[in-house]
Formats: sequence, structure tokens, C-alpha cells
Amino acid sequence: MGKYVFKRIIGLAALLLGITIITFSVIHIAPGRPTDLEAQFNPKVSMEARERIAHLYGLDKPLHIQYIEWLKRFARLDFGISFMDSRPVMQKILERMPITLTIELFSIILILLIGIPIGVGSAVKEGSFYDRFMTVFVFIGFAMPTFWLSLILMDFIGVRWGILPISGIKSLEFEKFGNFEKIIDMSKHLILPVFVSAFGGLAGISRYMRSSMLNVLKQDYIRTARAKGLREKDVLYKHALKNALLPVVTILGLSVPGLIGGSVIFESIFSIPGMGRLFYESVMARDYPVIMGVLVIGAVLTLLGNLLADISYAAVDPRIKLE
Amino acid sequence: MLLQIKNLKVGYRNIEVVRGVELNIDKGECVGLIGESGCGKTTVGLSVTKLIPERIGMTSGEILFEDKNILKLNPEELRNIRGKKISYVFQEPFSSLNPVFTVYEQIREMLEKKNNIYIQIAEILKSVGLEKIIGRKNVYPHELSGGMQQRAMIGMAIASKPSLVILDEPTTALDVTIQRQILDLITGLKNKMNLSILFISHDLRIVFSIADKIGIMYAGKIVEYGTKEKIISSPSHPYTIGLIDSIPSFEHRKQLFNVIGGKAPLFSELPKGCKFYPRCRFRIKECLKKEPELKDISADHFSRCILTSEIAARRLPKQNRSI
Repeated sequence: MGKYVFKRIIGLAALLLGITIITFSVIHIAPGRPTDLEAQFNPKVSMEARERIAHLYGLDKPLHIQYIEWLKRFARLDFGISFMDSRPVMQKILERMPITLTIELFSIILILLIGIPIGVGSAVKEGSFYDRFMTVFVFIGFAMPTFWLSLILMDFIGVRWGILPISGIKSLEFEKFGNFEKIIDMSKHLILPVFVSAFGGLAGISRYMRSSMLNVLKQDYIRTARAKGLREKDVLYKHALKNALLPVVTILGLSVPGLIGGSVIFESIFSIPGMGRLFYESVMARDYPVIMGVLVIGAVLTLLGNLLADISYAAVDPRIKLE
Repeated sequence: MLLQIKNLKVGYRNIEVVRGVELNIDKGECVGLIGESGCGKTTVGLSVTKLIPERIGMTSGEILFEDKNILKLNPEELRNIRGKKISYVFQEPFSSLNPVFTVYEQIREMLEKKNNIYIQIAEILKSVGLEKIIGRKNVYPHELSGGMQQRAMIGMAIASKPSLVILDEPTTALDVTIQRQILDLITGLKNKMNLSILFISHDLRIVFSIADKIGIMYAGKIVEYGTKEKIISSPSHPYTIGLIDSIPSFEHRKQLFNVIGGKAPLFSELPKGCKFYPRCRFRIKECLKKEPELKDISADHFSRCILTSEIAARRLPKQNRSI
């Protein structure tokens, strides 16, 4: 087990190196330069000034040298300094991460808590009204554009009925609140974003769960369980469910990167200062160090998520041993 | 009479695959049910405790077990028969055991008395020749060999001391030496526990070695029924004769097999009259008029053929057969 993890981590490191080379190249090949904002659009800036700015950022060096310099810093876990406001990239990311993590974590918990029972119920009552109703329900969530649903909810719940705040994560008078009130205030702000995010994600997990459960219910060991005279609830929720839940572990592993990736669309709509917006802003400004920082952290989490999925799969399925 | 099956008919959608089967099993008796793949023999076995889901199969007729009609029981009453009075051993031990529960747990579920569970389980494991895993509570099915898995299945089947065990091709998935061991185990348990057995198989030699009475099924009906001795010494239906004559023998190993020509008809396009007509070596015009009834030939011997008396004379010469 320890040996397996060690071998996998070595492999993942190599993979990560490849990923950084590709992303670094793609970002620099993309049209537009970080200096554009300060120089290109300003006719008063002279040629020399432009070159000076480029030199300041190290953009005048050949690409592979720039990459190696970036890699040297990365090896010390230093993502460099943002072009836009000269603050360390790490600091910018860390201040955005908690809010995105909170929203995504709540959203995925909600998705699991609602999606798994919907899927299991649909499979058990395959073809029934419940099954068809739930299918339509989750696909509405899946098909509905996030921005549209967000706007509708903001309009009705926030503006017309005034039940919940519509944007940001804190009220204006936040600093005056006591600790308990602060938590209440932030939770209120988070309800709509979490709901929107969860509603869209329900379809995936519930359909997956449904097909997994349907597949298990066809297996011989379910017939054996019935032939043993077990209660139908033991047949379904003990013998079938445990088998049907195994693949969900993989999905959980794969959703790890999404936890910090955030969503550009609803973070923008709800004015949430999260990772999605940070990424969007830095791409627009060609803020290379920040873009690389966000992408690399995403890549690391994706790879670790996969590893975690494999390890936890072995933990829950007695048939799988990691060698 | 322990079990009486009367005019059992089972249809999948609109196609009847069991077309009126009669079968009796006495206390301590082993009845073999023989037939080609797809002749409906497994369906008969599953119907005995209504294991065919109602939305898939329509069942009619009567199945009297201890004088109660099983087909009329409610789910709760059925549960008290399944696994407790009538239990099953299925063809594929590997897929019939739940992969994510330990062997101990799967046997434990069968036990009614919950005191001294480990002693009870140890006794069961001992009686099916699984002494090796006594005390090993964490053994999962995939850690056992095919033969041991089938022993575990048999252990489950006899755990609650049933009066009838339905064995559906219990040795088909095993290799020949293991087959012998499993058959010996079944015979031993039958004598020790005075079990009644319905033994479903397509392998004549296995059924001949274990059964007291034998029913031959073809296209959803029993075409010949009798004691083992009668079936072996004077088979009376052309299908039975064909099956027996096709057993390869060592003395005639250089000869071609005496196969039955043609193939089993599809249930959706059964021929008129005798269903075996297209493949029958002895056929005459009258066979096409109507499907023959099962009629007495001698005591405890029935055949569904209008020619029974003339057939024996026209059978293959004895030196070309192995039995």
C-alpha cells in the first residue's frame, strides 16, 4: 500500500511537469500580452518604456528560459508575483479559496444527500411515476442555464420578496455583528449560490446512481438474497446499495478539483470573490503568474483526487488490492 | 407429498416458456429435471418460490408446498418459506454470492436463532467441508476457489435446515473433479438431513448419479417422467432416447457422436402438434395432429409420445451406446 502510493506519486509528479509545460506554452502563445493594458492602449508610452516594462516582468527572455525560471520558483512553492497588483500569487489565491471551497463543499454535500436517494429510489421503482418525475426534475436542473436560474431566483427571492440577500457574501454592516450574527449573515448570502450550484449538479449523480443501482439489481447475488428470504429492504438497501455505491467513490475523487475551481458564471452573478472570478480576471489581464498558479493548483488537486479515488476504492471494495 | 407442481405455466411477456408442468417431490426424494438450455427448467425452479418478478413473468397453475399454494401467498408468507423451508443453490457460485459481504455475514443472515452464531456457522462450514475458513470471519467470496464458493452457497442453503433444496445446475460452472466432490457433498447432506431435492441440470450423467426420479423437459413441457431405473433401462420418448444415445462412450471413442439433429425451437415459433416433431427420428404423420398428452407407460413412468411401444424396437443397437 505505502509502496503503491509512493510509486503513484512519482508518476503523478512527472505528469504534473508535463501539464505545466503545456499550460505554460499555451498561455504564452495565446494572443495578448500582460503589458497591453499598461502600454499598448496608451499612445503616449514610448517603445523604450514598453520594453522596460517587458524587461521588468522578464517577458523579453526566450519562452523556455521563462519557463525554467517559473519552474525554479515553483519548486520552492513560490508562484511569483501578480503583474496586476504586485502581490504574491499564493496570497491572492489563499484569500479567494475559502469562500469557493465553502460553497462547493456545501453544494456537493447537498448533491450527495439528495441525488443518491433520488437515484436509488428511481432504480427501485424503475418506470414508475416517481422515476419519470425525478428524471424530468433532475434534467430540468441540468438543462437550465445557471445564469438564468440565478437571475430568476435573485429577482423573486431577493428583490420582490426580499427573503434573502442577492449578492456578495457579507452585508454592509457585517463588521458590527456579533459572531453568531456573522455566521447567520454569511449563511444567508450563501443559500442561493449553493442552491443554484447543487440543482445543476443533481442530474449527474442521481442518474449515475440510478444506472449503477439498476445494474446491481440485475445481478445473480440479488436473486440469491431474495431466495434467502431476506426482507425486501435488506435486499435493496443492504445487498444492492453497498455494491451500487462503490462507483460513487470515483465520482467523489473526480470532484475534488471542482471544489476549488469554482464557477465563473455564478460567482460573477452573485458577486462572490471566489476562485472562479480570480481566474477570469487574471486571464483577461494576461496575468501569467496568477493563471499558472490557479491552473497548477487545479492540476495537482485533479491528480490527487484520482489517487484518492483509487485508494478509497480499495478501502471500500474488498476485491481490490493495491499492489 | 412435500411439493406438488400442477399445470404450472409461466410466460415472459406474451411468450409462454413453461407450458403446463406437473412435478411431484416426496420427502427425502431427489427429482432430476433435465433439458437443453432454454427449455424452461430454470424457470420452473425459480417459480417454486415465486422468484420471477411479477412484472416480468406471468405465472399460473398451482404449486402446493406442504399443502399450501405458494403462488397465492403474500410476500411476508413467502419470505418465511424462502431460505427457511425451500432454499436454492445456483449455477454460478461466483456471481451468486454478494462480493462485498463476507462469507460469514452471508451465512449469518440465514440463521434464525441469533445465539451462539459463530458456533452455528462453524458447524455449517464443517458440514459442507469448509473447515479451512472456520474462524476466518473476514473471508470474502472472491478469496475462495470455485468449488469452495459453491460449498459456501450450499452451506447457506442448508443453514436453516430446509426440507427442500433446489439445485439449479450447481456443478455446471465447476471442473469435473470438483463436480464429483460437490455431488458427493450433496448426496451426503441429503441422506444426513433427509432433504428433498429438485436437481436441475442438462448433464444426464450427473442426474443419473444423484436423482431418484427424473423429468425430461422439452420446449416448456415434461416429455418423459419416471424413476431413474426406468428412464435408463427403457427410455420411451424419442427425445430422451436421443439424449441418452448421445452420451459419448469410451469404447466407441472413434465413432462420431450420436447427436440429435436440428436445434430446440424458439418459444415464439413452436411447431404444431408434437413440439419434437422436426427433430424426431421416429416421426409419423399423426404426430402433427395435436400435441400428445403425458400418458402412463408403466407404473411411475410417463411419456408424451404416441409411439412409445414401437420406438424401443427401432432404437440404436446397444453396441453403439454407452448406456
